Amino acid sequence: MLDIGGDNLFVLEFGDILHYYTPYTATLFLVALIFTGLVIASRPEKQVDIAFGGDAYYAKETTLSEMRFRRFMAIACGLATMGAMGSGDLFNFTLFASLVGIANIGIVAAVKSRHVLDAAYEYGIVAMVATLPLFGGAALILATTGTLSIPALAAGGFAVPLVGKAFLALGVIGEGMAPFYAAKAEMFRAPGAPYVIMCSLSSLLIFLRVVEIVITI
Amino acid sequence: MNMKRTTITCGLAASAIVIAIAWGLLAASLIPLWAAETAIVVAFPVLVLFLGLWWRAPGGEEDIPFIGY
Amino acid sequence: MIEYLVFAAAFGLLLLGLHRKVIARVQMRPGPPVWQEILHALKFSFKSTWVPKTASATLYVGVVLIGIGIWSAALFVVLAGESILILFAIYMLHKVVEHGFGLSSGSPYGKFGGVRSVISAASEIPLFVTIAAIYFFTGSLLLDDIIAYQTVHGPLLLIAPPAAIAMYLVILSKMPYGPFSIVEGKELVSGYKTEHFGVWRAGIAVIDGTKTFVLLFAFVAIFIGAVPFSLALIIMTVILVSLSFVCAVTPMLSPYDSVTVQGLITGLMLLYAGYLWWVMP
Repeated sequence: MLDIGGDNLFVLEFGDILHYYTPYTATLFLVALIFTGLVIASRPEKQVDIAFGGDAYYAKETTLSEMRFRRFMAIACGLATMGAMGSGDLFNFTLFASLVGIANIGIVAAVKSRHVLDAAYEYGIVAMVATLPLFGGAALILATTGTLSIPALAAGGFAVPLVGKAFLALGVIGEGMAPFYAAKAEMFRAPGAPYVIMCSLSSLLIFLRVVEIVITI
Repeated sequence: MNMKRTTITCGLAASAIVIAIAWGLLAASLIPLWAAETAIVVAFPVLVLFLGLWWRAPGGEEDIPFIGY
Repeated sequence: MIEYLVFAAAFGLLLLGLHRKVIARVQMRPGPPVWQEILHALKFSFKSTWVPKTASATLYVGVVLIGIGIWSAALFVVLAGESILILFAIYMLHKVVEHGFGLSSGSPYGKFGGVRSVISAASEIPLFVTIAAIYFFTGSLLLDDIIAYQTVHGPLLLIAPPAAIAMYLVILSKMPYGPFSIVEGKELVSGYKTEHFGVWRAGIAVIDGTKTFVLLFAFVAIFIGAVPFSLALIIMTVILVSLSFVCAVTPMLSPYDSVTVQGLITGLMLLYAGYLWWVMP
C-alpha cells in the first residue's frame, strides 16, 4: 500500500471488505466526531436580521420540531461522514458519500423559507445527478479489476481505469458541493449554525477522503 | 456567561496539569510521542481560553456593571 | 512540546506584526510596532468576556477550541515529518472553523464572513495540485521522505517552481490585508471575527499566529528542505516580507473576482499537473 496518509493504525476486516484508519483518515474521522458532538450539544443560534426601511432588527427563532428534525439529519450526516472516512471498500464509500448528500439536503430542506427550500431543491437535483458518476465510477473499477477493496487495488497488479477515478472524484464533488454551492447564499439564510456547518464539513471531509482514495488506488 | 472564579481556576489548573503530566511522562519516555501530542492538542486550547478568563474572573468585588446595548 | 506551541504562536504573531509594519512602510505610513499583534492578543485576553445572547453558545466557544486544537495538531504534524495530506486537510478544515465562527453568533456580518470563507474554497484546490506535483517527483507524501528527496536532488523550489508558486498563492490567500482576504473585508466590520471579542478574540489571535508559523514553516520544509532551524526562521521571514509587498500594492478584490482569480489559478495548476502526469514516467 502506498504510504501517503501514514502507516495503518487499525484495520477491521469483514472478509475482503474492511475498515482501516491511517493517521490521515483517523484525523478526519476525529474531526467528524467532534463536530457531530457539537451538533448534539449545541442549540441553534438566533439569527439577527435587519428589517429594511427602519432601524429595527429581529432575531429568528427556530421551532422545536424543526430543530429536532434538522439535528437528526445533521447527526445522520455526521455518522455517514465518519463511515466514509474509515471505509476500505469503494462501494461502501460511494454509499456513504450519497448518504452525506441526502442528509445535506435534509439539513437545509426542513427550514420553512421559500429561498432556502428553492436552494435545497436545486442542490438536491445536482446531488442526485452526481450519484450517476459516483456509482458509475465504482462500477467501472469493479468491472475492469474485479475488486472494490481499496487495499487490494492499492497493492498493485490492477490497471485501474483513469476514467473510473475521475468519475469517482466528480461524483464526490457533486454530492459534497455544499461549499461550492455556498456562492448561492440562499442556503445560508437557514438559521441553525451547528447543522449548516455539518453541510460544509461533511462535504469537505468526503472530498479530502476521495483525494486519498484516488491517489492510493 | 458568568463563571465563578473557582470554576475557572479549576479549569485552568486541570489543563495545566494535563500538559505538565504529558510533558513529564514523555520526558521519562513512559508514553509514546503521539499520546503526549494528543494530550497537549486537547489541553492547550483550554489553557489559552481559561488563562484569559482567569485574568478577568470575578472575585466578588465587581463595581462596574455592564451597561451596554 | 508545549514550548514549541508557545514559540510558534508568538513567532507567528510577530511575523503578522512585521507584515503590518512592512505594508505600512510600503504605503508610506509609520505603521504599528512589530510586536503589536502580540500586544493585541494579550490585550484581548484581559478584556471582559461573555457569550452574545443570540449565539449558539456551545458552538460559539467550541470553534475557538477546535481552531487552536487543529493548528496545534498541524504544528506537531510538521515537526514529526508526517503526511502533508494531514497538514492540508487541516488547512481546509480551517474553512469550516471560520464558517463556524461566522455562523455561530447570529450576526449578519459574521455570517457573510463565514459564507465568503466557504465560497473561496476554490483557493484550496491549488493545494491538491501542489500535492499531486510533489507526489509525481518524490513518490511519497510523508514530509520526512520529501525532505530526504531534497537532500539528494536539491530543493523542490527549483525542480517544480509552479507547485511552489501554487502554495505561495495559497499562503497569500490566508494573509490579512491581501488581495484575497475577502473574509475580513471592512464592509463586513471584521468578517467572521466580528462577534468574537475578549478572550475568544485572543484565541483567534493564537490561531492566526500558529497558522502563519505552520504554513510558512511547511513551505520551507516542502520546497527548500532540511535547513537549520534558525535559517528556516530567516527564510520564513523573507517569504513573509515578500508576501507583505504583494499585499501592500494590491487592492482587495471583490468576492466574486477573488473566487474567479483563484479559479483561474486552479485551472493553470491543473494544466501543470496534467503536463507532469504526461511527461513523467
